[in-house]
Amino acid sequence: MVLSKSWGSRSADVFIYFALTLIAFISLFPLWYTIALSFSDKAAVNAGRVFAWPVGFNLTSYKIILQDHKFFAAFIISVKRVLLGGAINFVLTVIMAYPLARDNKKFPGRTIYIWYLVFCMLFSGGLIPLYMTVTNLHLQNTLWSLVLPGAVPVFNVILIMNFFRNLPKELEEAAVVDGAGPLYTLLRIFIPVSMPALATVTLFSIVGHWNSFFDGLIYMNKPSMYPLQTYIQQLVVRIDPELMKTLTSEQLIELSKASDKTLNSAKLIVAMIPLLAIYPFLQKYFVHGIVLGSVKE
Amino acid sequence: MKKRLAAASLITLTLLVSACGGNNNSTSDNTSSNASNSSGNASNSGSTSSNTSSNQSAATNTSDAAKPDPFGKFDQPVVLNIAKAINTKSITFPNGDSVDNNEFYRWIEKKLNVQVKNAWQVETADAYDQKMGVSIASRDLPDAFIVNEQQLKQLVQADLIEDLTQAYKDNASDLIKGYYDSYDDRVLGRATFDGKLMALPNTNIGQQYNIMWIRQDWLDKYGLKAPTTVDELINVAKTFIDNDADGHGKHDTLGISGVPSLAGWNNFAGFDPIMGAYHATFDQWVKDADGNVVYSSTLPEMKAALGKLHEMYDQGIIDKQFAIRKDPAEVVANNQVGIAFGPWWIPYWPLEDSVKNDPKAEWKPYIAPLDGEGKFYTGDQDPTNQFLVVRKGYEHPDAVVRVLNEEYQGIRKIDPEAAQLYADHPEVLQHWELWPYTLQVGPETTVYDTHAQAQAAVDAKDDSKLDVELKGWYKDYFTNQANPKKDVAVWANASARFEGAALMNDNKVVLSHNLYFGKTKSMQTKWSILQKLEDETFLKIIMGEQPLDSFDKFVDQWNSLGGKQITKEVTDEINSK
Repeated sequence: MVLSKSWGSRSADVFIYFALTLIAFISLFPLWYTIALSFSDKAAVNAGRVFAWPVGFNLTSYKIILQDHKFFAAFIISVKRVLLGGAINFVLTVIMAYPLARDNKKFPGRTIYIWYLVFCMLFSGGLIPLYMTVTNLHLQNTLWSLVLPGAVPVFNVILIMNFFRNLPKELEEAAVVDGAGPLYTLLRIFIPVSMPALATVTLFSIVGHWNSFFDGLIYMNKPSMYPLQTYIQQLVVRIDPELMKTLTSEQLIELSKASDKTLNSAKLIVAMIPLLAIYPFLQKYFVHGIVLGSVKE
Repeated sequence: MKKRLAAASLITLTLLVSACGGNNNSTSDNTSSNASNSSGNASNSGSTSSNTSSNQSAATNTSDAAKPDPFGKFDQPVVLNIAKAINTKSITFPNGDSVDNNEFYRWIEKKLNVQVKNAWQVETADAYDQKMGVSIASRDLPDAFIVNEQQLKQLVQADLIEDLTQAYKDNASDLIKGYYDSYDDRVLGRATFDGKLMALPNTNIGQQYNIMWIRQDWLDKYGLKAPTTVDELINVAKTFIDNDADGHGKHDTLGISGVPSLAGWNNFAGFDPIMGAYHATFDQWVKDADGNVVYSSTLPEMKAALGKLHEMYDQGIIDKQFAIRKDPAEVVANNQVGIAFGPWWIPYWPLEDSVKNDPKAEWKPYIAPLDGEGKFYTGDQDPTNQFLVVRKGYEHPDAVVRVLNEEYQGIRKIDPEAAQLYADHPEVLQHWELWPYTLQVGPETTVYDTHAQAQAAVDAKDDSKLDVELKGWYKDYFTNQANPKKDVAVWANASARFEGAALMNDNKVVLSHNLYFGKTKSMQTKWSILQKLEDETFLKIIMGEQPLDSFDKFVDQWNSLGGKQITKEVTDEINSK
């Protein structure tokens, strides 16, 4: 196919490319700036002299973060959490959304269940009741305290339920005619054709599990049990005059060696990389598994 | 059918809700048993060391029920669960020791038969605050823990902590009592409610007021003397600006950097020294000439100080952009200013960055600017902000106090045997927070006192009498002398400890004591509005957006918006003590 290009459409192309490049640059620059800060010398950063390129290149901040085995221990806990928590989220979302996607005739009381779910999604008991529940169930200091409280992501359930409802009825009817039971239909028909939606919610729960740090802080009583984000969040070099009053000279010297600005930037980068690495693997599901062409009307 | 289901789900809901509410009682039991399980290893290895040593100590120390001994050993093992914030990042333990099980904890067990266990531990103060907030709200409390003043008041009100009056009286060592008494009632009074001592407070190290740091190399360049009065200070700043002292070549030298919150404690670049020259102190409760309690920011002295600050701002002596700078330290690190107001420790931050960026920078501290009589007038600091409390129902408040005794016998190296702990590992020994309580108790003048010790050793060229920490300063002093500013961290230590701290006992300094640090009833609802009014008015006056005379209107407004009522409440509180 040959496109004849007039001068007008060419210049429009140039303009569009230019505008898109500019937007891409504006979006990426803060990230790049953070990277530049994380590799810079802290005296230069504190003087506001770093712009697009690291000044006084060094790896001090990364050394502070990656220095000892504690980082890797926390990393492994986080990976375990994401795998276990993601799997639990996935299974519960699917087996909950599937029956709820039936209509009221097949599943009486469906509306009540849905309202119940929506209620739970909008109102929560708050931090203290949640904490007390977790403690009383003896989940404190176990991996379960991080994955069980959020085991049913209601928002995801509603998303998947609606996706299931929008699938062509004929698909299921055909399966039933061929003698498939409900479980078989779910596993062989619904899940394969819903891959894009399932990939999306799985990504939600993976990102959610990876990024949350507060539950790690309140349910774990020893820093050695922290997941990665909690561990990183606790690695602060905070220059707070309030603290100067009580610091020992050793700590003051420690403070003067690193800067909160460079260290925080390095923390952002380190915490982001594993997630960035996951995206390409989920990418293929976003385009695959479309129902298109499965039914002729 | 539908209705029945609706009813059923409603019932389930109420059941769920009530299940959450009804668990108050059992929570603390569960967690304490958890904690003892998880630290079972710690107690095993700890008890072996106590067995070997029990023979010798039993002979000297016998606990007597009738007359409690501050260092007496308990007959039965006592378990003490504590909550702890300590940054373990920089500590490398020898022999598999840890925060939960180390020579200090084992020493306490050996001396007192008290097993200290960390119910939980976090790395930062922020995390501690958050976790403690959850702990208090869910009544899931360790046996002894440290809280802030607001939490202390809540705990007292909710009757969740033990009265420590008797335990303190009978068990506190003379050392601890002496530290507290050296503050008169300013520290213990804050933890006393209706005559009952509810907590053991920390003591903040004093002598942290802002003084003047100036670039000696710039002074020398223009043949100037260090300024002693405000007018001399203005002249020096003018010379720096006019000659573009920073040599960046684009006329960007600033006179004095400032901070939007203007002054007060913990404010690097606060204008306190200039205000002090006019005898004005910021945000303090003081007594006026007639003996009435007044708020220092509403006094005529403050008006005079603001007038001068406005004049300086107008002339460009004060950084024109000080109110919108995100970080007042940035211009210092970038070597755009030659005059900075800050405490003795600012060589650690941000002067260190300045020196690193320009090794010629030669910062020197001065007690200046002075008032007409040659005095340096400034406000004092909150002497306490942390409180060690004991959970209501814990059987051994006396053990809590005795652990504190032993801890300070060790930290202050009074007990020669305790001084041997980690003697071969100075890097571990330096972390006094490894002792059970991270509660600092000591004399108000520690900054100067330790400097004097180190200086004496430097003069005598003999560091044998110094402890590990001070030996480090001694070494840094000579390292820096041999190779000035080669290692900026070493320079910072030498400059702060031997130049900044040296000025902290200067007889030119007149400390104005704040008479009240707490919060009264009306303050809880009105104080933030009054503070906002004050901050905005002062900032506008300095920047010339409002005339100086609007200060009088501010005082009227301040009084009518609740300041009068608060002043009355504060007066009552002060008089009732």
